[in-house]
Amino acid sequence: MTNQQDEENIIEEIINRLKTNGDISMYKKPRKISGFLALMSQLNGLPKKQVPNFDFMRVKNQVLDRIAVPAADTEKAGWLVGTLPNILRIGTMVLGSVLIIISITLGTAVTALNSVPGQAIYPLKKVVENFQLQLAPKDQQSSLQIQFASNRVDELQQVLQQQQDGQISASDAQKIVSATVKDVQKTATAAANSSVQQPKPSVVTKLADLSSKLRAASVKSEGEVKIELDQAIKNIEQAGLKVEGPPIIIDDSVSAQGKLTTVNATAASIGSAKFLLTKDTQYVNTKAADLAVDQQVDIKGQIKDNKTYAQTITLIADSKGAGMDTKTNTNTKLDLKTDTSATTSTSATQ
Amino acid sequence: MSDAELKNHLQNAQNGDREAFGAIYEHFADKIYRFIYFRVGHREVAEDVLSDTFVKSWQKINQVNSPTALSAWLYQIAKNNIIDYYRLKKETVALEVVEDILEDAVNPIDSANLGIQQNRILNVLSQLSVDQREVVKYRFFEDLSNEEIAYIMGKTEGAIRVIQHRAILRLKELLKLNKK
Repeated sequence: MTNQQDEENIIEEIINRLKTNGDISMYKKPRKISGFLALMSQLNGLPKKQVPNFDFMRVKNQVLDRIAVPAADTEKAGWLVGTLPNILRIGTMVLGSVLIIISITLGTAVTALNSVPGQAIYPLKKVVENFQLQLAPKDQQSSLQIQFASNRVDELQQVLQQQQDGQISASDAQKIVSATVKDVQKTATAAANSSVQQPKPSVVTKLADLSSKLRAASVKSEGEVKIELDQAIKNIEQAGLKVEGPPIIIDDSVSAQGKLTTVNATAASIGSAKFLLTKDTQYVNTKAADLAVDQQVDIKGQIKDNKTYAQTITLIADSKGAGMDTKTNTNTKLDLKTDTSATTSTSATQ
Repeated sequence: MSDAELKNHLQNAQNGDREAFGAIYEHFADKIYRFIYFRVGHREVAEDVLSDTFVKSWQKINQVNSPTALSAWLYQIAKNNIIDYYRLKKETVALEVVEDILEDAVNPIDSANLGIQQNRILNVLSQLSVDQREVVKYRFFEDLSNEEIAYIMGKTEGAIRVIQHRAILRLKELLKLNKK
């Protein structure tokens, strides 16, 4: 044992005896050790500060309450506490990787959306658009298809510009334009067919825009490209007509049934429905001169120049209630195909 | 509490006996509270940290191999809880720095009634290295064992003995110089 280890042991022993009020007399004689003893006695004898009392039992009860959980739960919590950081760490790594892949994919997709036919990334643009179409609600699909057709036309213009600038050859441009024009027609036709789901006028307007854009492209083009474009314009215009459908028919017929409330030489009224009598007015079961208030009649008329003319007046029952045929109405029934709030309005159907 | 009783309580606590753990609390709570109080400087905070210390020690009670290590192990948990407390307060996390910060506020020594020699000792204490000063404080001012100090400082008992020896030699030397 070295001197240093001896001293360490002696110091340790003195401290222990000082702490336990043991016998230290044996360390008083050796001069070197007595110097240690004096110092350590002074250190040990320094007055200690009193620590404020704490609520011993309250803390004990609190501890016992907090640990009052089933052992199985403690085990489970321990397992979870031990495993959760690992799960989170792995989860974070996976999430990070997924985010990187998504951002790369999105970045590529965004780049693809700005591509033009002929570029390697261009087919991805179609994939992205198709995906977009699948996700869109049904009532917005035709609008989206027209948007895509419009994109194709924009691309066409860029391709034609590239051809003019000499960036691509005429034959390459012709191939690209041919493929793109077919795509435009296909998309525009699909939009026209699915336009039953949304307001037709907007589809018609957009198809017209598409057609005029193609016309502008056609002006710049020549040869095969021009032929292709002109055919596409024709097809799109036809698609537009298909959307527009048959011409609007104004239905101006009007009829009323009930008791006559007013009758004079020029007009007969059922309530507020007033019919003008003309020389062309036909009478069934009655005559013009025999028309009288309270007679049950059926009047068919026509609106012309904001006035309602009686075409046929059929007497159903006279004022005494005697039926002219098997059908008798007691209540006034006004069957106007027009808006009843205005005597001159019309109903329009497409 | 005898060593045998402590061993028995520890075994029972490790088998889920809360009453036995309550006995362990009763045996150690005062000195652990004192250790915590000197470092947080506030009674209510010290009570909370004490409560956390015993709850955590219950959760990890199976880590203790022998009853003799129990005390030192509890000090270690208390130290970590004090550091956590300061982390939550976004303050420094090194315990010796914590102690330095609180030294003036909660000095374990009642410096109001010191003799001349005792004052000289306290004055030269600051000239020791951090480790030496810590060991002297733990050993003489807070009455901790070498094993407990070793757990708190994360060193071996042998290392604590060496530090302790050097601290006494250095103090003696400094007092001699100071006397001249």
